[in-house]
Amino acid sequence: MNIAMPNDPIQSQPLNETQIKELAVAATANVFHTMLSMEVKPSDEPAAAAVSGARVVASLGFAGENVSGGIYIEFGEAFARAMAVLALRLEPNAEVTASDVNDVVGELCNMIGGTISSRLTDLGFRSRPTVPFITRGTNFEIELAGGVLPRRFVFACQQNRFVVGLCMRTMK
Amino acid sequence: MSVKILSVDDSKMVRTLVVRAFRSFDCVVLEASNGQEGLAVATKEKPDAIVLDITMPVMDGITMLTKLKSDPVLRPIPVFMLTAESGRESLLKVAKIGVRDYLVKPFKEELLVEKVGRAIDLKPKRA
Repeated sequence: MNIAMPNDPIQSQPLNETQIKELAVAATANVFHTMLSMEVKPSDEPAAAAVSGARVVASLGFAGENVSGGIYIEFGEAFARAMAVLALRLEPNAEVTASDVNDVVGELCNMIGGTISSRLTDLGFRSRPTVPFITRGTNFEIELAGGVLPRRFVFACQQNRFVVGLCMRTMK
Repeated sequence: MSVKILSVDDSKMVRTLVVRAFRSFDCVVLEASNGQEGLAVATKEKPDAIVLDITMPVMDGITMLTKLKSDPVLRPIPVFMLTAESGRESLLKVAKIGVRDYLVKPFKEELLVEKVGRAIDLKPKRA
C-alpha cells in the first residue's frame, strides 16, 4: 500500500481577515468548479440583499483544541433546485424533490466545510467538521450565540447569487 | 464480463458522479447509501472495487471497512475511501485499516477513474 500522506501541520498563527476571506473564497470556488463545473466569483453586493424569498441553507460546525466555528451556505430556492438538477444530471426541466435539493446543498456544504477544516488543520488549527444540516424558510437570520454575525461572503454564478457564511474563533 | 464497482455514499450527488465517471467503461456501478446496505450489496455481488465514503448514517465507512477486512471473502476487494477531510490523522486511521487509496472531496471523475484503474482492469465499453 502506498498512500501519499500530507505533511505535519505548521505552527499555528492567528488568521487575519484577508486570510479568512481567502479560505472561504478558495474553498467555495474549488468545490463549485470541481463538482458542478460552475465558475463562481466573489461579489461586492451586500449579503442581506443577495438572497431573498424562500431559502435553503446548509450548515455545519467544526471544532478542535484551538479553533471552533461554523460555516453555512445559503441559496434561493430556485437556484438550489437548478443546482440539484445539474448535480444529479437530470433533464433541464426535471422535477427535483426537496430531499434531492437537501442532498446536493448539504454535500456542497460538507465539501466546503471539509476543505476549510482541512486547510485550518494545515495551518495548525486542527478541527473536525460535523455533518451538515438543512434549514428552509423565508424569514430567518443566522447568527452566533451572543448576537455575533458571521462573516458573509456573496458569490455570483452568472445571474445567481448565494452566500457563504463563516464564523471562526482561533486560539493560539 | 463487466467489472462491478460498488459506490457507497449517503450523498446521491456523489453516487451520481461515480456512475458518470465509469460510463465509458465496460462496468456496472452498484449503489448503496450507507455502510449496512454497502455490506449487504458487497456480500451478494462481490464487486471488483468499492468506492466508500467515511461519514454516513446507520453505519459509517470506517465500520464498513473494518467489517470488509475481517471477512476472508470480501477482504481482497480494493477499497477507495472518499473523505471531505484531508487531515493527516483521518487518513492515517483509514490507511491502518487497509484502503488501496483515497480521494478528497471535491474530486474530478478523471482522478477517480485513474486511481481505480490502477487496481482493476477497466476496459472501454464496446460501441
